[in-house]
Amino acid sequence: MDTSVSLIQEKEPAIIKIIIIGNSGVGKSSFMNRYVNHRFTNLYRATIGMDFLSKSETLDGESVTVQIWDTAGTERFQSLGSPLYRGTHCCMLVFDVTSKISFSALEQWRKEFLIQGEPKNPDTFPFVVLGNKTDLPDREVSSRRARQWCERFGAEYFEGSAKDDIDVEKTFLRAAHMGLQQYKKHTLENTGHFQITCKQPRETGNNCQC
Amino acid sequence: MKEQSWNIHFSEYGRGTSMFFTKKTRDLIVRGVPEALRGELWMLFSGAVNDMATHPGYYTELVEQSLGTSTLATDEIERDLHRSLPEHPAFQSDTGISALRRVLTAYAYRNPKIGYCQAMNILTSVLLLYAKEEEAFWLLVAVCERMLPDYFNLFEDLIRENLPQLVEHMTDLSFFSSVSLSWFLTLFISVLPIESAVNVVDCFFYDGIKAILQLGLAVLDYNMDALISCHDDAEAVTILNRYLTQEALCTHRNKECITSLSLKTLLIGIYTLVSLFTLSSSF
Repeated sequence: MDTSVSLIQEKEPAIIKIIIIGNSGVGKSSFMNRYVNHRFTNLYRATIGMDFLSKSETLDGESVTVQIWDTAGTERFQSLGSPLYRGTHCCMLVFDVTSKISFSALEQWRKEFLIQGEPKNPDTFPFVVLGNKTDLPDREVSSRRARQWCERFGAEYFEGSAKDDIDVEKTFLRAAHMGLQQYKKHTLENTGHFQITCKQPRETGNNCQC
Repeated sequence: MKEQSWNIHFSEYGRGTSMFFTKKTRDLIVRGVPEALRGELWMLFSGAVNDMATHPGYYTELVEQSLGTSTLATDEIERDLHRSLPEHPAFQSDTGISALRRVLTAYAYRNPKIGYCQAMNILTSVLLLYAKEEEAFWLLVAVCERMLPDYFNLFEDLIRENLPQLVEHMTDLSFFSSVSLSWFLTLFISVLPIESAVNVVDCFFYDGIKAILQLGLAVLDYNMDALISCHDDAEAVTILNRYLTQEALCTHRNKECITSLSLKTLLIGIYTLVSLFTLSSSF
């Protein structure tokens, strides 16, 4: 342990919040786990509700904490997951390149995110679109088609495979970069449901005046 | 040992549908039902035993009618079969997967209004580990149609009533609805290791949703100080996950529990301190 005292204040690393949404079974959890834990397994349970992992990264010499929120793709759980959209810095829309349905669903997922996440800059908010499962043979959605759709709202397109570890890191790093830009432009006062309260006697109530 | 206690209980209070439920029954349940008795007791406590007895042949008929049909529900079921309890050897062979498919498909066919909902796959897998296929079907019926009510607002209301300190710290309570979704829909199976989770399922079949609500409140209550010092959702999720995984460590190390509170103590706690949480408004 270092015993010397440093009076230089370390800057707290910025927390970049990335949310992953898309249809059930497209591989959201697998992609996240490949990036954070560097592994892939067929032994995943379906995500009920949501899951969360974080990872430290250095972006342009700046350390940041990347918070990744993995959501359930099941429509029935959507309204319960959406409170967690708030305070997101980058949204990752995931589809399965072997499923046309999962690709066409992205439009709806994007809309849902903009409504529930309430970003301050809906027109310029950073989206990353990811086509997963490129390791599989029967592809239904071409890169060209996916790129065309992304161009319509300025999203960046990536494709890869969580199973074969193709372009997973690259996709997340780009999302984190875009998230960091968003963070700098629109640092949100409150990114969730927890209030940062001041310590004070209970009787005085909630109106904090410090 | 556990079996012994149950055998004494059976001889004193009867067995099967004529069994008397006493305070002693609950004590035994909280300590965990022996593996061999789980199926029988779950059937009994849930009332599924009666449904099955009064509908002979019903399940077989449903399976015949439903298998091979193709609906939105069957598509969803198919996608989730291998994402239910994949780590368990029973679901690494076609025998387990086929049974799971039949039960879920038959249920969706029986009740199209509910159909298939993710989480049913995880629950049914566990039911199949302890009950015969037809029994698992009737247990699923009991859970979906009688035992798991619309608890969403209920849990938030109970937090408001019982954990005011926590409420004061939150902008709103929707966070807890998101976090607890998996607790309720899978009866804690998806967040606890299976050995602990089945004990929760024991309590659920005996006491119904009350057991899950109480446990949910107890988990929040136990982590209150840490939750109150949280600055964001992520910290809170990390705290709760770490707590529930410590439970995992606990079980695997077999009694050499390093945490101050094990799930079992928590379960015993919520039952012995009857007034720990007021559930009066809803029950």
